[in-house]
Amino acid sequence: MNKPIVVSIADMQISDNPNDTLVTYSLGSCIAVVLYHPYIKIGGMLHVMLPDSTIDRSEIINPFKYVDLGVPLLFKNMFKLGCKRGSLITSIVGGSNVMDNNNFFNIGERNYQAIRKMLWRNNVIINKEDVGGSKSRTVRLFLETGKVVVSNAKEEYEL
Amino acid sequence: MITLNDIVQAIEFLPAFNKNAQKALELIRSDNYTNKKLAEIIKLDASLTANILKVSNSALYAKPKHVYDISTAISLLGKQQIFSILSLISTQDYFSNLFDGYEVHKGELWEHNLSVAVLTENLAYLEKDIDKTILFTAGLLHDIGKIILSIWVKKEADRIDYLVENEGMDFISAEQSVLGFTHSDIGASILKHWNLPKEIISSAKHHHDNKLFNDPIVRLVTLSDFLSFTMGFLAQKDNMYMKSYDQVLQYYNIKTKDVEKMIADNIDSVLTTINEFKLIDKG
Repeated sequence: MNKPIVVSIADMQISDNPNDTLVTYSLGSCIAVVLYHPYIKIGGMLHVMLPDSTIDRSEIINPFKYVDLGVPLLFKNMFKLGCKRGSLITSIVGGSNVMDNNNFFNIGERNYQAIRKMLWRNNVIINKEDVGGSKSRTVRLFLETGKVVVSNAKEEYEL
Repeated sequence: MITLNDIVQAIEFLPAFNKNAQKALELIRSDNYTNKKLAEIIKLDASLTANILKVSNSALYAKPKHVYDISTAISLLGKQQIFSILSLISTQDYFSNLFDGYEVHKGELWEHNLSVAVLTENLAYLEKDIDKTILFTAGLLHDIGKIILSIWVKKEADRIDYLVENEGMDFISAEQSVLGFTHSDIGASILKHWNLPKEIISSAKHHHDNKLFNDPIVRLVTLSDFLSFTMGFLAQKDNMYMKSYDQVLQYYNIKTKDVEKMIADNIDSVLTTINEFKLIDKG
């Protein structure tokens, strides 16, 4: 097994090596979009932070910060490697909220809704998901098997 | 329960804070500060000098020319930046272990602290009349108590988790209830022991209890702490269960959209700083 490929915050990684594992650590309100092609064993993972890039005032925008820019790029790059839309397994993980008394800061929920809307509009079905709540998540994709494993300080489970 | 004596011993057992760095930090905040005096103190300490030059030439402070001597570094960066750099290089080593009472992977606590440091400094515009020199350091050291309390939190993890999950207690109250101390109390004691400025001590002591809410630096550190957690730093363990942020968010009248904007505006500088001061690669 190779050393895991780390997907940082606001980052995307893709691999077509079945010995690889993609991992992203500590998703709070951020969301990981995980794509996997079960026959050719190509996997991609995106770690986005925010729903909408229109709030970004910087000159050069890192597209992987945002759902609206990052998700299409992840799909495009998977397509470039020969993946077809219908054959990809799509998993969504993360989108939790820091617990506050009035449950007011729902960035996690907004991220999730933005992704759902975008995928729905493009006829992509979400096959597996583990979102919401007040917990943090680390997510791994094993390219050999396509297993998506979610963990935190207390538990570990396969989606 | 831990005794006060346990804590005192643990603090004394910590490696001493670099004396020259301490002197330099004091000088920067004193009335008889000059660049020359600062250079004289730093020059006495070869490793401090080398580290400051290294940071001065890093991607963080991209300079047209390579900086070779400390006097040039001081005049190029200014005393505020030098204060931040001094704090960084003299505290980084304290965070080099795994503090598994609070983090799953080594380096997460450090990254959280760095992100709070950058955010506290970047958000200074929210306050008027504030001493910007110490903002970065106040953020950087707000959680220093965790380096000592970690072993006890780890030992009592079951009881603490029980209170959080079944009694609806937030993490800091559970610390207090099970251990008799919080990481805020202990952080303040460490910083006092190191003779650091009182505003920095206050930020460590009060970033969860809203008791010193009239102090703008405490407010900024508290807000930055919330933002860092929301970004996902140190999201593995305690922080998703902290209820102490309501007051600061109301004070600044911050809504979800504002939080998103603050994340968007600041994440690049946070990530650059984290990259520059990485402890280890997570594997």
